[in-house]
Amino acid sequence: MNKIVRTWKLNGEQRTVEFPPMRRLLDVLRDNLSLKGTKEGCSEGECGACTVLLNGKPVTSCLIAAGQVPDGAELMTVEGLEHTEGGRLLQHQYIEKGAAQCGFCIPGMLMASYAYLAGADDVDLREAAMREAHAGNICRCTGYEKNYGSRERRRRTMAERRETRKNRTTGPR
Amino acid sequence: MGQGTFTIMPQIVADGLSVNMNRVRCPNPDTKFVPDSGPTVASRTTMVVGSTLFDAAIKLKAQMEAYASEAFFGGAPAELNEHFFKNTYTNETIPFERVADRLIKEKGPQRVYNQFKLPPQIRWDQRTFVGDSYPSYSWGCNVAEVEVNPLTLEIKVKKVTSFWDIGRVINPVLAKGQIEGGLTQALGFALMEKMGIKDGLFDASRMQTYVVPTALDTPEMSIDFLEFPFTGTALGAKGVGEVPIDGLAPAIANAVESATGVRINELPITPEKLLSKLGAVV
Ligand code: FES
Ligand code: FES
Repeated sequence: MNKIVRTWKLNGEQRTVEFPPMRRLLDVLRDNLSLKGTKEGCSEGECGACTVLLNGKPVTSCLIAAGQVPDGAELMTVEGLEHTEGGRLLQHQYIEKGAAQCGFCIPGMLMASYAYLAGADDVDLREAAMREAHAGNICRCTGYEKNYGSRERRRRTMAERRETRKNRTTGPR
Repeated sequence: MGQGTFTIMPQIVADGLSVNMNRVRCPNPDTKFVPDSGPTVASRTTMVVGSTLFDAAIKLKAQMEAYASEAFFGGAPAELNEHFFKNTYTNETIPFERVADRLIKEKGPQRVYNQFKLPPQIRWDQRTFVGDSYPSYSWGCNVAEVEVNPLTLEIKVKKVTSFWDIGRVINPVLAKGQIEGGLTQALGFALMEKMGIKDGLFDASRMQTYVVPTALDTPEMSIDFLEFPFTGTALGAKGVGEVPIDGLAPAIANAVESATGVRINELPITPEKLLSKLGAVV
């Protein structure tokens, strides 16, 4: 099959990549771009392990043909988190809470947390909304409380969120 | 693979040695170098391997203290405490590194060997299968609060309250996480996870058909420990691997019975099963 070329803003950097248009975004990220942080769990859009941000919105990269992602799109994978204030904060909070056991769900789970918390100005930090935001990510080991966070953690997040949005390199436009 | 072994084993060794945890390295176990310690079963790693390491660390500490006493304190007793060896008569201290450097130069790397021993009160006869096959058990108590929709018979677990005796808790964060994860799985087994066999094939072989709990299905969970250190080992820890998954499904079944008056003896407890039983009752 003919290959196509795309240039994306990936984790804050311009990256150009060539691939057969129907290759899944997940495979382009993992195999063409060697970003192995994004995981493949179910391959059918159920588990959320493959979640990445496309223009700031969480998407399951196993269900997206990479050719659908246009030039200039902003992509963020779990590898991009450490370049943002909010991403680093989130990593620390996950570690502090012992959120990862086998860790397989964690790249996707982190992206769901980040997308939600670094999203719009009026993020609803109440428990029901936080649960909803993480409902597309399945974790078999550790339970979910650690991911959507304790009340105290959400308060802290709220306090630091302004910082997060100022410093993030990619996110919703 | 996520059970926390590489966190708690250094913790246990550091505790036994009275040194900082970042002085302890935990290499990947390799069967080329370690003896066969039996199967991966019965949540025994912390109790068996942990105790073995704890006792070994205590032996190693005594060995180093004996050397410090003889080489630096003229025979006065030495006590290792984090960064120093202390002469317990004069309170004089020598940094850990100095003692360790000289010890390695003079006597080479220090090794200790230790083997897990069953506490003496535990007897098991392999020929007659009589006695205690396990030296101790962890215990848990689960309370489930459920709501059953009278129209659709859907079951929602509103809250889970649980208490656990896993002996001495080595790492409260990891232990709690293990229990939360186990309870979440138990909730799935109780209410939604269903794997049947049809024409020789599993009928729920994908995540689309085998439904497991998400963040929207899990209730508020209150998890607490009652710490009764196991008296059979110096470490006092028991296992926390499997026990969290055992009790919640029966607790949910009991709660559903108390709400509806019918008892379902087969998991998962689905609205369909409730309907057929209630139909029989009405
Ligand atoms: S691998 Fe994409 S949702 Fe499971
Ligand atoms: S930590 Fe294992 S699946 Fe989430």
